[in-house]
Amino acid sequence: MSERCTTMEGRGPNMWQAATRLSSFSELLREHCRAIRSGFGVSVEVQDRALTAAFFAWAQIVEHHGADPRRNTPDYFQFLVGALLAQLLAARAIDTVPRIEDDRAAEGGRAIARWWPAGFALTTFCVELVRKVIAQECGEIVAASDKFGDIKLWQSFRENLSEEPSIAIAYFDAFMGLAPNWRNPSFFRERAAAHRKA
Amino acid sequence: MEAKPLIPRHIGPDLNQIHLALVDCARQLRYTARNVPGTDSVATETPHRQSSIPRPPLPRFLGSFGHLADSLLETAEAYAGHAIPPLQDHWKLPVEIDIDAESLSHCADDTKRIRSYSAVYYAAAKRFILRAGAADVLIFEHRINEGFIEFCEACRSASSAGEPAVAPHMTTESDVCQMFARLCLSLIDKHPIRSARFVELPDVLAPWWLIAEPNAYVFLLLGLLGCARRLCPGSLPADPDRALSLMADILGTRESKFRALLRERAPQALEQEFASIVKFL
Repeated sequence: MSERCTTMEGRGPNMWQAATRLSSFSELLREHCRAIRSGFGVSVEVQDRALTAAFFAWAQIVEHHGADPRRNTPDYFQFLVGALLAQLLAARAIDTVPRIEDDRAAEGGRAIARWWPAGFALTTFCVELVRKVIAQECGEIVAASDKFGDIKLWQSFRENLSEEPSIAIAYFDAFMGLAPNWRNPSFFRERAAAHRKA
Repeated sequence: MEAKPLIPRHIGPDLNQIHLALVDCARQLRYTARNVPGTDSVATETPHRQSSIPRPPLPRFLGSFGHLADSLLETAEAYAGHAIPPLQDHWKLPVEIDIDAESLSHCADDTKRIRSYSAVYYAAAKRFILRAGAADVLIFEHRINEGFIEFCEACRSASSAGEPAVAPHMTTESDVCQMFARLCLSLIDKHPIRSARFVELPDVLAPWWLIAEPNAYVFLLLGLLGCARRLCPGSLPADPDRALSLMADILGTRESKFRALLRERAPQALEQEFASIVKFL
């Protein structure tokens, strides 16, 4: 049908297009899991059926916001990738596999990755994805803020997620240095960026 | 010079339907024999439930009933063997849903082609239902065939009347989605799946919808897969069973929407839903 990418680094083709197709998206996530395994010593694996469910739930959100007048702004992509994170976490799209080399995580001081492997893997994946998409679609450079290394924020993230899955959108904003909408994180029109424009 | 066919062309489709109906009759006999409570086949599938209950004497004629059905099937296949390959065991191997959309919309007179598509759909439906956990299933292949025939005839009459309702050339994604959506509705209307017996609950992601409305569930699944196979074959798993499971997972995420569309009988909305799924594959 069209071009698609298989790796996240140094790709020419359109990243957003790759992220919005299940086949290429699943490749990207698998590759990220492999990178997490080798870089952090925690084993995470993609759960195919859960991934499909999460991805198509997210696809409906993408379609729902497809006609939004702010659809090409960085905040639009930030919101949608946050919503993606929420769906992936809620569906448990990746799972932790206990392995011997898990000890390496402690040696390397990667406390967050060891403490919550699935959450860490999915959040880092989404950080990387939003960075690439905004660079390609809007020509802006974004990066995770200092809060990304704050274990207390991660603890509160994990704790609150069990009560309200969509809160992942607000935490994702916080990790990216944006003002989160804690009250209604899944309402695109209630985001801080929308108020600034108004 | 081409030999004159022994059977006049215009009655070919009817004879074909009669043959399929006879085969389905035999299938029904066999299904009934297998699924009467107290018979060996039903009892052996649920031994733990039957163990403490005294079993009634088995009706002996049911065994011979089943054998009779089997021989009927064999005879029917033997007579039809010269035209169509034997179909009885097609479902035991993975079934590739590869419908040539363009030719389908032009083949109202091509009995052989329509029948081969019916056979593929029959086998795929049976295999999917049995893999989802059903102990037995009865599908009328002649009704699938009827659904295909009606769809092809609708294409032909729409094409000759110059209506854009059914696009015959399959030039765009939208044409293909439209074709599969209409075919899907045509097949659901025929109710080819007559019965599916589940001893245990089906798989969690192929849930109650499959038990409650097997025709809607299975033919939506096959329509969606056919559409995806045509539009983005590279995005699907190579293994036909995995491709079907993927479609079942996707259908599960949009169940309420699809059910609403079927209630409304809205072919255009169904077509749009197919398109919106395929573009995300």
